[in-house]
Amino acid sequence: MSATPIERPETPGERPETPTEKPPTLLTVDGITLRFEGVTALSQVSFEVRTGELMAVIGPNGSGKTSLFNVLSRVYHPNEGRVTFDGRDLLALKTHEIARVGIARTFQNLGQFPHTRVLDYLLLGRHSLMRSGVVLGGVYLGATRAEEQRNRARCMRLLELLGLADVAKFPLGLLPYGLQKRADLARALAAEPRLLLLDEPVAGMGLEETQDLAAVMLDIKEQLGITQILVEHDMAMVMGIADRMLVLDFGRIIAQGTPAEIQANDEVIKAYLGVAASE
Amino acid sequence: MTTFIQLLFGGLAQGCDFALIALGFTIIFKASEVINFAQGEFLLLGAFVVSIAMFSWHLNFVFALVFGAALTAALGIVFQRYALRRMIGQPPFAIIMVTIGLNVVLLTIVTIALGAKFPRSPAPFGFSAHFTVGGISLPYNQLATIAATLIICAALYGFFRYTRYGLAMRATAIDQEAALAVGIQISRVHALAWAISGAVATIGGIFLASNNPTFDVSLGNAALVAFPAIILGGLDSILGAVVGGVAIGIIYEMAQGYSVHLTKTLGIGFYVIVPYLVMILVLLIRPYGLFGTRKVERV
Amino acid sequence: MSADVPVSSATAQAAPRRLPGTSRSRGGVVAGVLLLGVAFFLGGDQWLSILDTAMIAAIATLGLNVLSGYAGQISLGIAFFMGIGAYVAGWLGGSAPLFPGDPNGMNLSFLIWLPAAGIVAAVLGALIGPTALRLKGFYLGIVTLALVFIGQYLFVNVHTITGGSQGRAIPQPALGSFTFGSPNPILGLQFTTNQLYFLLLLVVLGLAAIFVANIARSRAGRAWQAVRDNEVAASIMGVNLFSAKMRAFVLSSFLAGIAGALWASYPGYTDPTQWSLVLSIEFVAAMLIGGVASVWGSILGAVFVFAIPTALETFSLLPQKASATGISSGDLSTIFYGALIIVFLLFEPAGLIGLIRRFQRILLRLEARREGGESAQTLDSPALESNFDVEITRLPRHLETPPSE
Repeated sequence: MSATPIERPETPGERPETPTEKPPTLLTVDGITLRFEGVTALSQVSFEVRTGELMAVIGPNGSGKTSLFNVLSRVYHPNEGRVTFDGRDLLALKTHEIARVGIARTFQNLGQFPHTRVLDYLLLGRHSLMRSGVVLGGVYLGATRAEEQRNRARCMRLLELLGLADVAKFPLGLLPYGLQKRADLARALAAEPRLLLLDEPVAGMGLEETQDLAAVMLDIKEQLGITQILVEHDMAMVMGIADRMLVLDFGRIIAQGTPAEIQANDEVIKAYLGVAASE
Repeated sequence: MTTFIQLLFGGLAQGCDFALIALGFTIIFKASEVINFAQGEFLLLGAFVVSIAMFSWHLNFVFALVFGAALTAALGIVFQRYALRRMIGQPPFAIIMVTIGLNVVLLTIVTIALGAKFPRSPAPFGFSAHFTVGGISLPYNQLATIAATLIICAALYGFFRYTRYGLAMRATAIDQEAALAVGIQISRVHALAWAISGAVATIGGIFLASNNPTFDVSLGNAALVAFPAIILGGLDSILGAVVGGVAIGIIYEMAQGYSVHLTKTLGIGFYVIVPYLVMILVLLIRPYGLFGTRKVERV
Repeated sequence: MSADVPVSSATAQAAPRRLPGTSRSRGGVVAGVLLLGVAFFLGGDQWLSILDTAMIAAIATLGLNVLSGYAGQISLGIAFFMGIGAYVAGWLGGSAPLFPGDPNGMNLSFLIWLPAAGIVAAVLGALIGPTALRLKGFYLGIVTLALVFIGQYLFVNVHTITGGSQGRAIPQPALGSFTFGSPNPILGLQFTTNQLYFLLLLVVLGLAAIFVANIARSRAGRAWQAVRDNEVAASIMGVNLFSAKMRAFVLSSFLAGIAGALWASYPGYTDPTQWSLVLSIEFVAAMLIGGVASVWGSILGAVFVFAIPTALETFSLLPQKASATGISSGDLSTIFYGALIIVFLLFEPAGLIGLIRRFQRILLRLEARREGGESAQTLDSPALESNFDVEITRLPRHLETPPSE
């Protein structure tokens, strides 16, 4: 099976105008501070993510990783700071607008859609790429029908590629945990994102499943060129696949760099173990 | 001026009644996070049972009251234990509907039991006995309502503040998991909440029924007016239930009393919707009410 | 409704197919048509009347399901929108007032007043929506409850349109000189009023059902269900929450308006007491009993809550003792469906449809066992045009078998 180059969807009107050249830096986070009623979840967080790279965000529990994701997916609005995505001001967008500009996110907790079938879940992921509304959907003729067929076909293809075709008609709630997570990833990919936010994608998985998913993430990077930001606890996996890493502690970045650099970093070791290696 | 004070007093009494009903809602809500739509029919059932006990079985008022309160308390406990517990984790719509289902069942049972009879309302003091002070009539029933409400509020305050079970209930209302962790028996807390609500409903029902010589099945609808009361006061606040209830009662009585003047412009029955208009206003401006806690949406 | 998805023949499904095969569903349709035909010609006026009422109720239940079942927005307000539809029908289609104090009527054609009933209700929904839909859960329920009371107050007081507490006449459908009330023969056949209503309702209900079913399996329906299940996740996936809720509200109000107009047109009269909280609750019960978020569920639920009690009473199927003690079948059926709500919610939240599907699955399993083994799918896969053409080189090593139900 040989790799074929990626072709972006060409249907007009399905995506806002994006520059044809890919900028080297896809995401710029600058001085983000997020406070809730006395707790500072994020403090002066600044970093860049280059196009096509796989960045991992790690840190002890409560260090602000999920809050960061929530800011990036526009669920929270930070008290201070700026975020630039693909040349546009991300903080000017509302939550439901991020899908349109090409940001997709997987979820940590998967209990939300137990009755939704896998294929329908992926189609839901394509919500911002499709057009039919209530009236067109109700009448369901011509263009709407074609749109449905076209998108279903694409989603089935994606399911096949991820080995989920057999469970396309199963409700998510019936799937074993590992397949649910994979279906969620498929759903995020179905949105044809530029930036993929992966929220603890291998949490609760065994060794083999983790390796499989790590391989998938590398494929996403190499075959699809999708930029990924990954929040994870599984250090071994993360060190193996990340291009660069970000370490958070109490809402602050305490280190940024390649996995090798991070491993040797005293601050990081202190945060995790309580004492620096050199002490 | 006398009209105003008369209406104020009537409103106070009516408000105390609403406060009792609202308390029933709030206590259950704090314990089980559920709005018991059947509360109105608990009220109806309780008053009905007291009426039967008083007039068919010839028990005296106090015994009848205790009997009625015990019955509704028991009903509440049973419903919570065998129906509501199974609904944990279901969407709120489903839970609300189960209580509505109970509402329907209770209402119909009482309607059938009443049949063609027209039982008398269980009023402890009859319907015309009253003081007259400075041109204002103060019916015994209304005084009793106010007094009873004060006593119940004091009792509840003492209960929540100073007893072990009261403390357990407060803890559960704040954080169920933490309460479990410290060894509080949540099932007992729930049962207690429903029992207290049921009993309070009966008492409220009696005083509400005492406004009319004959017993009317539409008594349960009065409970619907308690919704504006709990919204105004704040869904999870006991103090809010009382304050909200009294406020709505006064507003309601005033609107009803002055409705004669209003009929020309505002038509018939405007006073009925006044509490709901107040409620909508509260929901638009300050949805958590006067004393409710602001919810922090956490993802 | 199954997806028309071409699956590559390489992917055979191990589990038995979940829906009945084509031949069986075709058979079902034929049987259904035959049944309806029998009911229509031989049923007798009483049965038809019950059927007619149930069909109108089904339209309203469908509307309620759109808002509460699919989109998950609690509403006790359907009686309000139905009332609006009824009074619009009366006002636009009714005859001019005979006496002073009679309500107005503009004598417009049925082809105007029926759609207008829906449209006006929808417009009201659009106006109320932005305020109401800010609220969630219980709060939204309470506001819609308040709406019913406010509606009744308005209905009592806006005499010129509604006739106040006296009520008003609501016209029956008519086309030119052909009226439902005293119809001329069509093609030599003399139809009764009930039969004409039946035909009309078949069309209206059929259109509504197909419309809603189509939405359910398309983008808007998926968005609604996502909003219902988890708003934040839906939002992250690109669903505009407010827009989705508003559309559900408007469509729901439209259907309720149409249903209300028909509900009042059928007996020919309405008054404000009809549009009460009790009516709203009856429809919510129908939705829950029949099956939330299901077109067939709406129809079944409507039949259950509205047809069966009337049938019991009309055909005196109640045991003698019950009638003797003065319990009306109305009361009994009310307890019955009240208890049923509780039973269904506790034990089968998917309602009657849920029960039926369970039954179907059992049947399928028995059949699969009898036929001895797996039925592979051999659908031809037409060429799949996909721009998202990528090979993921490292496929997962194993695939866990999904647990069978």
